[in-house]
This record gives sequence, structure tokens and C-alpha cells, in this order.
Amino acid sequence: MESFDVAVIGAGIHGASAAYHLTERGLRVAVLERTVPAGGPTGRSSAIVRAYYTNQFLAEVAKDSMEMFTHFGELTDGADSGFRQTGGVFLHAESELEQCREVVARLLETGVRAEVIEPDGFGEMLPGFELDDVAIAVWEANAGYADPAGTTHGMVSTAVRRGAELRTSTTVRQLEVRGDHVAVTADDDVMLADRALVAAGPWTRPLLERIGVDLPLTVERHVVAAYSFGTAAPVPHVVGDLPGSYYLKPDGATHFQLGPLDPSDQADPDDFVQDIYPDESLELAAAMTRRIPRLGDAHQAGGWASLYDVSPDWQPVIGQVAERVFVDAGTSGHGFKLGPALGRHVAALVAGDSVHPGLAQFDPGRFARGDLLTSGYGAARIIG
Amino acid sequence: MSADEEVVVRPTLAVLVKDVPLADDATDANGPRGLDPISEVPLEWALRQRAAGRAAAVVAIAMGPPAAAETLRRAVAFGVDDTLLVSDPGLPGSDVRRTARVLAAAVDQVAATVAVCGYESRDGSSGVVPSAIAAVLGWPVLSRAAEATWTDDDVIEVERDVGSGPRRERVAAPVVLSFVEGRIDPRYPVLRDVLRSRRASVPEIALDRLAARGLETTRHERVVRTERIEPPRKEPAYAGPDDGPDAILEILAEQGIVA
Repeated sequence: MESFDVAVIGAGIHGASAAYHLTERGLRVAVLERTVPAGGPTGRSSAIVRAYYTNQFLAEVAKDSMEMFTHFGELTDGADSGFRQTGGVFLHAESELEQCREVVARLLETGVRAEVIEPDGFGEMLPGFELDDVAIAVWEANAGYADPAGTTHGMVSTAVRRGAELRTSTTVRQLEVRGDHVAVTADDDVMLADRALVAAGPWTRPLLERIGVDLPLTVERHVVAAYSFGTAAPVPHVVGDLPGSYYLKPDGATHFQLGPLDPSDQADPDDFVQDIYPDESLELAAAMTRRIPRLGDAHQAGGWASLYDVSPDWQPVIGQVAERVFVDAGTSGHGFKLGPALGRHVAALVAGDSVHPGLAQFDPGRFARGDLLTSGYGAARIIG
Repeated sequence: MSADEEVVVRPTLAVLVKDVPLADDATDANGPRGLDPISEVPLEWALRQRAAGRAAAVVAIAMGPPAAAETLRRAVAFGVDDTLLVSDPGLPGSDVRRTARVLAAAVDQVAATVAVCGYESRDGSSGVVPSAIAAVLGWPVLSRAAEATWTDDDVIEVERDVGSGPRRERVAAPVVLSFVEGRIDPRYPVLRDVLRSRRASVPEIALDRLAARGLETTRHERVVRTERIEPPRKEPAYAGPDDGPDAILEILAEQGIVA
């Protein structure tokens, strides 16, 4: 029976990044993945990259991730993160004006390129947008989007090159903490590891229940609706329309995607409708064309549904949950862009090294203590 | 208008569209449904005929549950003038014969003299409903049309894709045409039109109203069960560029395609 320093369960962006950073520390890592890397929600992410966060630590992590996306080839074996730096604009109603100004001032101190746009600058910045209900906008020059599968594969394959063992099509059925190790049972195979990191997204909760740990994580189904610009002049950057409760993301030069910013219905990760309903696409399109009437000339181009593993405060759940067992989950639909750099902090935690003080706030025990974090703006907690 | 001038009454074109499961797994009862992609081809053809002045109006007809109104709204977004939904508790699970009778009655209801549809549906895939409708109506059918040209002397020249090269036929209304994909590219509606079509009202008609026009309503079939059948797996055989024609002949001989 083989033995590892760390068994990482899940090869989404978070498991992949943890494996990448753990192997960088020279640890012997096994990655167990039920399908293929990025085969779960990661691969269905719209993969927006931004550092416009209300949570200061996450803003810094996102900024560090941006650096990694930018230099991804050098950090891996020449893998491509698909990072496209389009810039992003975030629209806010009057009620969010003060919070927004305060957040931007804080972000500027840490070097995030965020800039407040007052209404007199809207016309130049957002031509053709209907902005009557918008009091303030934030422009983040470095925002954009990446390729979630390419990024995940790049991190996993680099971990493998550094000696990690990747087991795909391997569903972990059982976790068991024994005296000096953790036994991970995948299908018929038992693997022993000094420590285990559960980064299994929507499957995290049932897995941790096997060792008597109950985290209040829920699973929500969220859609990514696709469109082509058609004859309409493209919107070349990301839009976070908080009053309209949707985001827009360009996808290459000819297409774009829309998704909701609000909470959604819960779903069973093993049995959910993976296709988008026509109505879901049109609800988003209706909100978007109210804001950007010229995109009434766009065409529907399908879409899909993904899953968010949502924590009660829509912030990540990172920490130790039992002797030798750690968790990195609950990123509530805004985790992808955090992944590459967040894994460095998670790896330090799992390795028993000193960790950034900002990580402690995500301790899984906060829910039992009633010590919830704040996140985002109003219902758009996904802003983080 | 002089006495010599002929008054030409342009016909109404009926497009028979189908509300189908859109998910890969067509047996998933909870999955999204919508306009059968094959229905987009006859819709496009019909709208082109209207634009060219050949048809006075295009009416989209569907048979389905009340929710199938959404599929007809999609047809409105494409640009049809009117819609008709045949919906009745007695209809779910109808077989080819009953479906054809109902749709033929609906074509009659809207007084269309040209009825167009896809060659087979995404879910049922029988491929015989168009012919069965023609049989009920007593009209000719030209199936698997790739393209059809409506000439000035009111003849429709149809280029059929019947698997052994194109076949050209000429026909005059009344007629049923079924279309295949490939030659006619549907123009997809812009979001503005799709969003506007969500408010379109879709007339619904029950069987008893159609029955008044001579439709037999007695039901001879019922759904016993629905089961999922895995498609048969075929192992591909490969012949590389250096293998030469003999290798291809050998593969064909193994399959019993050539002696």
C-alpha cells in the first residue's frame, strides 16, 4: 500500500492549486479525482478574473492569482491559462455608494488597479449603456477572464511533473482518521496519507460527514448563458451589473456570456439539469438589454448550468476540520480566480507551516460560533 | 383594376413545428424543452417564400402540452404571422397515425395549402409523420427537400436529398414538403425579437374543436412505458493514408459491404 504526505481529494482549481503548491514544497502528494481535472464545476465556470473584492485578503489573493495567470507558462510547463485582460466595470446603485468608495480606497492601497467612475464619466466609459439607476461605477483595468480547464490542467500536470500521483476516474467513498494517518478509500483501493485535504466542491459536505464533520455547505445550480454579438458593437470588457443582478463576460471577439449575481435554487450535484432552460437565458438577456439596448441585436448561443458550493456567508471555508483532515471548499461561485494563489496559503496550512493571518477568518468553525463574514453588496454576495 | 387582370390569392403556408426535449438525454422529463432544431429549416424556407411574395401568411402549428406555447413563441421570434397550438389531455403519447390526423386537421383549420415540416423529429425520429399527414390530406408529399424554389408559374421545384444524390421534382400546391438540414441556413432571431415574442399570445385549440372538422378522436394506443436504450456501439476501423485502397476494400469486405 502506497503512502503519501497529503491526499488531495478533488482536482478542480482548488485541489489542483493545492497539489501544485504542496509539491513545490517537496511533499509527496496524491490527487484523487472522480472524473478528470476540471471535470466538475471548475470546468463549467465562466472564470472571470478580478480583484475587485470587498474582502481585503481575497482581493490580495486575487491580485496574486492575476500575476500567476499572466505568467502561467513560466510557472508551469508552458501551459496556457487563457487569461484575457479585458478590464471590468462594476455598476452600483445609490445605496452602495459609500461602501463602494471605501472598498476602492482600500484596494488602491494594496495595488489593485481599481478606479471610481462618477456619473459624469459614464458616457465616455460605457457608451450606449442605460445607467439611470447607477450611482457609481468601478473600473478595474486588470480584470478579465481565463480558461478554467487549461489553468487546472496546467497546475495538475506541473504537480505531476514534481512527483504527484494523479488518479482520475477515482471516486473517494470513505475517509477514516486512524492513529498516525488518514485512510482514503477510493472505489476498492485504500490509500494512506499523513494528511488529507478535501477540495471536493459540492461533494465536500457528504465526504466530511464520513468522519463526523458537518459543514453547512449547500449546492446551488447557476447558469452560464451564451450569446453571439451578431451585428451589435461588442462590449469588450467584463460587466458586473449589481442593480441588474447579472454579469457579462466577453468570450473571444464574437461571443459573450451572462450569469446571475443572485443566489439560486439548491441542486443535487449527482442529479441536476446540466442544460440551460430557454427561459433562464432570456431572463438574463432581458436584464442585460435593459442596460445595454444595442445588444438586442445579439443572438442566443446556448449555455449550460454549473454548481456553486455555497457557504452561509458566501466566503471560502478553509481550515482543519479533524485530526489530519483539512478542507478548502465553499468558495460560493467566486473561487476560480482565487484558486491559483489561494493554493499557496492552503498548502502552507496543510504542511503545518506558518500561514498568512488573513486565512484564519475562513476557519470552518465560524459557522458554529455564529461568526459569519460579510461578503459583497446586498444580494450580490458573490462579489466576495 | 381592369377586367382582364387576374386576382391572385396567395396561399397560407403552414409550418409544422415540434416542441422537443433539448437536453442530450431526451428521456429526461425535467430537462429544458424547445423548438426542434430541424423545425428551423422549414420555418426559414416558409419565411423566405413570404418575403418573396409567394405566400400571404406563415402559420406555425404545434401539437403538445400547454407549455409548448413557448416553442410557438420561438416561431414568432423567427417571424411567423400566426400560431396554433393543438393541446388536449387526450394527446400525450399519440402514435404516428394519430399525430398525422391531428396535424392534418390543424393544417385544414388554418386553410393552408402548403404544409412544411422537418424530415424527422429530434425525439420521435419516425420520419413518417410528413407522409402520413399528406395521406390524411390526400396531398402529394415530397420528402427530404434540401432546397425548394417556388417559380413564377406557381410550381415548386424541389431538390431532394434521398441519399443517392440530389433528385429534382416539380409539384404544385396543395403539397406537403419535409426538409433536411444542410442547404437552407436558418437566420436566428435577434434577442430583441426573442424577448418581444415572449409576450405573444398563442391560440390554443382542443381536439373537440378540430374533431368538428372530421377528425377521428378515438384513441387506439397508449404509452406503456418509456425506456432508455443505449445506442449500439460500433468500433471504428481505420485505414491510414499509406495503407492504399486494398486496406479500405478489406474493411468494406469485413463489413459485408463489398464482396
